[in-house]
Amino acid sequence: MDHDADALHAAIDEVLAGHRDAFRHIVREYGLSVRGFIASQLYHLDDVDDLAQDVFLAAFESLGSFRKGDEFGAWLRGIARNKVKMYFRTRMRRENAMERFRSEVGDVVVADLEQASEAVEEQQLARLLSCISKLPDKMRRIVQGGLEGQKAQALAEAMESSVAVIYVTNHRAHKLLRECMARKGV
Amino acid sequence: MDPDLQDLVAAWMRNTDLSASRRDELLARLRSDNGFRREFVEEIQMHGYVRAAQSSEPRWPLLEEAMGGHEDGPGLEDSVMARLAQMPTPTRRRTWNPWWAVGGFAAVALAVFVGLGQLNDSTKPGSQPTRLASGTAIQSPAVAVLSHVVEAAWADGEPERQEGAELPAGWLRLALGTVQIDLFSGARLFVEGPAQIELRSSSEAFLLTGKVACELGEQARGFRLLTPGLTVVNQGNSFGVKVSETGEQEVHALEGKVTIGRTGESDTSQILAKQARRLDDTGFSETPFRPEDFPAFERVRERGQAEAARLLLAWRAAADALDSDPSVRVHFNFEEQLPLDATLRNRVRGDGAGSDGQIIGASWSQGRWTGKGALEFRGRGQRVLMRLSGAHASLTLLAWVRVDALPQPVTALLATEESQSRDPDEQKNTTSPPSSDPASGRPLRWELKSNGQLGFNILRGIVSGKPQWGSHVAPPLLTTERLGQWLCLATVHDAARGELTHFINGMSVARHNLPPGPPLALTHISLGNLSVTDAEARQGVNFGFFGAVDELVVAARPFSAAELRRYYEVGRP
Repeated sequence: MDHDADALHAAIDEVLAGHRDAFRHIVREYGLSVRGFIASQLYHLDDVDDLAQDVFLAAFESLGSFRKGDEFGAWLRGIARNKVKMYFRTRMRRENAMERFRSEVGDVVVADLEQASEAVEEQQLARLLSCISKLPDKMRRIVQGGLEGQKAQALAEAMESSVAVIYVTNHRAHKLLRECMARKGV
Repeated sequence: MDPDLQDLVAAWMRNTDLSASRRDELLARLRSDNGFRREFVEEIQMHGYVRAAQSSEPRWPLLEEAMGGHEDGPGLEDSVMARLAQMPTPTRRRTWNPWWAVGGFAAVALAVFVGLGQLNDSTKPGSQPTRLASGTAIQSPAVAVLSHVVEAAWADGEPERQEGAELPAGWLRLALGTVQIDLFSGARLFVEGPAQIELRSSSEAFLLTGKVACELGEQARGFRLLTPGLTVVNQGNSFGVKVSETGEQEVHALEGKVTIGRTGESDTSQILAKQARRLDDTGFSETPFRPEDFPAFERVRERGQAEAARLLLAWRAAADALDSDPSVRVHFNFEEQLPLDATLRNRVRGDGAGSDGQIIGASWSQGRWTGKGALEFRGRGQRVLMRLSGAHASLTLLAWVRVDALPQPVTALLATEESQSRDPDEQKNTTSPPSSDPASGRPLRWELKSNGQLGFNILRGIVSGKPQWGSHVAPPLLTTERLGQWLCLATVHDAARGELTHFINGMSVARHNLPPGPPLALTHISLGNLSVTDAEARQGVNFGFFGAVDELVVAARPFSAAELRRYYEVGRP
């Protein structure tokens, strides 16, 4: 991520000195990437939002343990990883084999996901909405609609297509979005 | 689009259910196929970003409540700020966390490097670690042992304590799961998360919130458990105590009678077996006896065994997938072997694979989980010998080890047995490195030092009969509290990048820049020991390892940090 380290350190110092309003800067800078990281792994957006809040509150509590010079985004993702892990563990106790499967998949990919998140700059994320708006109509509809739950089936019916085509189109759209986000001046 | 990828994405998005065999297939491919895993990660990552970016006005119920409603719903920033208004200002952390000590130890290690480097060229490090930080290590005497950890997650900011860890006096904040703590006084505590408990000494603990069951034998007489309002004194029986987040407190006499009192008051009363009392503003009152509310030894043990079986299966799948990696030359997984086996089977076969291991003296024991084999080493003489032909430009060494003691200056983990290059009497006039024959390559030693440093030494040459080693060490992280625990140690030699990186438990702990040089040789390798020269024998030098090994991987390519992290995560006990 390409955050201003000086501004970040100044904000941390201010928070530790008792000026908690400076924490806004941190939430503003890292909010989208933390929510995106969690949303990659969780189904319910309400849960994503709740966990994102918890991540920032835990970060606030532990801010004194953050070592300047370390990557703050990676530190936040470490907290987020723990929260997601706990979320899955609590659900695994009462839910079915598919939930356990998703938890195992999460365990396998979390290191790659963190590494991939490191490679995405905040400015690229800021361009995402603009990039979505530039997608061809059909792709944009699918990306904006999302595929979670029964949405893929509903989209397929609405667009008189098959679920498989919806997934393939979404896959291609993601590639276009990555290319678009990587271009400056979008 | 790859059908496997489509199925996995659909399952991840809860658009479809999969059969058990299909789930196993996809998990196996995800673990073994890097390209497939990368594609899946890219897919869910973009999906997450799109969802997050499009829901820029998320619903934040807690903030709505805090602010008395908000027409459009506040953003993340406002919601976080509203909630943290009720929290105390954070302060710079000064409590002890073993991993924060990396920096402190690294600073000490740096001083040791510099000091030793000035004294003795042959031990001068090839380079300094690039990642150093500040901090101070403080160690307090232990008052208990963390005997069992079942489906547990520690609260943010807490160290990731493992089963078998010694616990000093201080706070434990458990977010989830159950742990068994055996205090040195003989008291046994089962703590169920979420809980906050302070171990004050081996005979006293303070429960701020959560549930604790105490089993107390005759030896534990005098043990006290305190809560914000209540004191329970041991009379050699078992009891359960719970303190809710809202301050409600209950004590249940699980076996025998229990003496209770209000904290700070001298009056006490007794409750008989299978009775319970609740404490509120008006004092103690009767409450229904509910033993099932508290963690019990049998339940903890059963859940622990079930979790261990699940973890063992997950590790086996990942370990099997590793065997199909063409770069892996040696993989000892210590599985499917008999207690009297004198040969350690290399799971990798085919061209370029290393030999099986010849076990000398080491005995079979239990590994990370029940049902998983390991070899135990007790120092002198014991070792496993093997061969691996060829010279290797890049290398990854990974071992799951349990270090029981580091009694001597250097303990060999894995080393090239090159006695001819280590005996000064036979090398008096040699000035060139033994790598003059590229096929043989440079010998190496992967070792532990008595101060807890993981080291990787490469022979630079022989000068006046003395071997000159380039030493590349990590900070002294294998501290006493880590002795007896299973650890994943790995070192990656990346010739293309000119880097050598040490990893402990999936975390990069030191990186060194390496000058280009001849490849590395592991023609004759010894695991767990190293032969001494006559001169060393006369001085009583011993390199024998004290502990156990239950997995060893040697690969002829540099594993990435993500790969090592993933393999650690799937193999952690």
